[in-house]
Amino acid sequence: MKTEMNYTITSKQLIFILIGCMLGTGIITLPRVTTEVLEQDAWLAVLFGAIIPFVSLWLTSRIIGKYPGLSFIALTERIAGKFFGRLLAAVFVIYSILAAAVILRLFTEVITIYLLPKTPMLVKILLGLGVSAYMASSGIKVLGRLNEFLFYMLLPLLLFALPALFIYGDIRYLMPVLNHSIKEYSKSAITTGYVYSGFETLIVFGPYVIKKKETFKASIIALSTTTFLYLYAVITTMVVFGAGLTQKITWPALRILSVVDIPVFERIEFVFILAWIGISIKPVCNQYFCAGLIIKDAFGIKSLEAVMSVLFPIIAFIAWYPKNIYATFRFSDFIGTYSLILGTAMPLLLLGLSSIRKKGRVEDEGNS
Amino acid sequence: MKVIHRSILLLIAVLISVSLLSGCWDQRTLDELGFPFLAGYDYAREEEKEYPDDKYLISVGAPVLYEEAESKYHVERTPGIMPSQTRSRRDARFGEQYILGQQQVAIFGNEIAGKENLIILMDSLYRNDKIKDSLYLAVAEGRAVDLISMRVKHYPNTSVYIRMLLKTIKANNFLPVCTLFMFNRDVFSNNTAPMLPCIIKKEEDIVLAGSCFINDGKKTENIGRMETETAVFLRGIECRGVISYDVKEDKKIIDQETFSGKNSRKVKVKKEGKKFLINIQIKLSGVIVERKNSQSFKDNPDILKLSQKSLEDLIKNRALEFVKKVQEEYGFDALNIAKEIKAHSRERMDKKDIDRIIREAEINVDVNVNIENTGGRI
Repeated sequence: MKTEMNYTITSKQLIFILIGCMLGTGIITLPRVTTEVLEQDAWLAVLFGAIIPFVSLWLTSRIIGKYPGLSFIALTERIAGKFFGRLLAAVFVIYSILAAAVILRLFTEVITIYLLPKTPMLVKILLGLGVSAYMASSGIKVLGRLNEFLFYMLLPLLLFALPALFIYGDIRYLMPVLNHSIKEYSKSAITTGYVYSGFETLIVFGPYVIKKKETFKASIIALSTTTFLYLYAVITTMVVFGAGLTQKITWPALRILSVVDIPVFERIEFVFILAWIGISIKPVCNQYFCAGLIIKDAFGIKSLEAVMSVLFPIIAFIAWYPKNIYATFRFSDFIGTYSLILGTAMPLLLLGLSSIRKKGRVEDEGNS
Repeated sequence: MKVIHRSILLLIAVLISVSLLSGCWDQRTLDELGFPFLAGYDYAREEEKEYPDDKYLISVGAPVLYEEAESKYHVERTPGIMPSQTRSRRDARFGEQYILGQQQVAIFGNEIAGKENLIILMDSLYRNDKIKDSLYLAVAEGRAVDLISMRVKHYPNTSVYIRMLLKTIKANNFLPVCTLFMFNRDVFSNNTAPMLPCIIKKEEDIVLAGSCFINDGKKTENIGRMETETAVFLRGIECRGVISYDVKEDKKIIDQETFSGKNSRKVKVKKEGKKFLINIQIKLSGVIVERKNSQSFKDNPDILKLSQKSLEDLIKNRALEFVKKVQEEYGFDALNIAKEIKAHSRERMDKKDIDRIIREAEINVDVNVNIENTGGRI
């Protein structure tokens, strides 16, 4: 069950895929989440939150480096045996399905508030998922290119916040620095770690990189870029709103766009949302693809599209299920925790098992 | 097989999209919409109530877009138990459906602003993401509905005029402007009292006449134009304006001048023991646009220094008087220095702490005037 060569991606594409997995709806809620824990030190929470993903990426790169040329399912089966390997893969598939669903739902919630309040939730979910299904079924190469293209679309959007920053920004909202206890900073590392969820997909995408040695470097570039963009969002929002007000707003990074009247555009946040739709749908496509690819490899199914078609109603139902936005946020927190545990425990477990097996093999060879 | 699968998938995606979009739930026809520019908040009088439980009267000023219509401006007065309830009642008796995205100004009547908690009253504004944060806020001297219903000469409607008044006021006057965003930032992040401009009806005109503070959601007494200017300097609301003053030498008036320029502020906070020492430095820089004395500044450079000193003394005296009023009468942060105090202290403070600090602090004011030039005449 080795990786097929027509499925390869470049390390540059891996960077954009990983950024695409990590960067989604989280960017517009992150300032609120971080200020709730660390108030004016919220920007530090973004840095602390990157610690767990960093460790996970390092562990995952080591695993991938040890077993080059093996797809995720082949890798887990080689290390943990057929049964446990498939069990681990199943855990990952469940995560990917749930993650795709919750990201899709959060995306739909924003669309509901800003663009389509009267359109039924299920319709918006089906439309969003339909697009994701089409993109995800196009294969890893197309996904890589798509993530790259949509990443560049994000960059001009960042400039939209500059008028508010220049007119109302005040650096004193970040002061005093380091005014919290170690316990609070530790808590923030976990709370903010949630928004990086998507980093664990390296174990699925990593084996397809042509130059294996560049996998870790590429993943760290992706993590650094995501951290930088999150820092930008949090600092910009903080210096304009201040910690107190940021905590009161559901989507603070979006709301910042409405504090200044910009001639011609007038309501710039709606222009932002139109462009943001493409960006925030990326993680859905990527997670959808992960789930589909693992199932396809596990069962030896030839057609990825067939798997995607089966997954479609499942993801749609899960995304539609939460009754309200608070249930969606709780669901999202659960997925964040799931992601942190999965992202660190799975590579650790695989590395541990791999070492035991290697040691056992060496001892067996010594005895014989 | 693969090509067939992809085609089927694409076909399904297109069919779903087309079928769902054809009857779009959110489609709107422009003809069916009304665009309120201005909203006024008052208590409903007995004769204005539709039901006994009605408490508020929300008046909305909107342009009339029909060419044949008699009037180009319409004011809709709707009572309700809560402000948002009036939205649906209004739509039930008004042809078009009002959309809130273009609302530019919210005016609160004097009575409602004094009795009601504005933070709670404005909840419906802030909760609705369609309403922009750059919405201007103001307080009316009487009832907001009376002001909104006025006809203003030379303008197509009152809402355009009031919006223009509030938008441009900072460019020519030392008067405050407050938007929904500024109000909320002062309340939730700064723990300070927002400062709202006051609009009054003067004969056939609507004019900005001063301001008021909103402490714990409730309006204080209005302050006049001169005190408002001083408060603007002390709060560091950057404006451009004009001040006429006497130039004095040994307490004798030697000239009268008019200064035109901009203001800024620097605040230094120190803590000695439990006491806070606060120094507010007001900076003014600009030009002399008018004077009565014809003696050249070039011939006697001391006059320029004297001009600066006279203006500094005038503003400092007014500022110290206002600081005293804030500490002794108001007892809350009307100077907007809570942000500075919080930035320079490791203690976590809420509004009560800030108010106590303001009352007990030693607040000093320095004024620095820089006359950059004296216009086209030496």
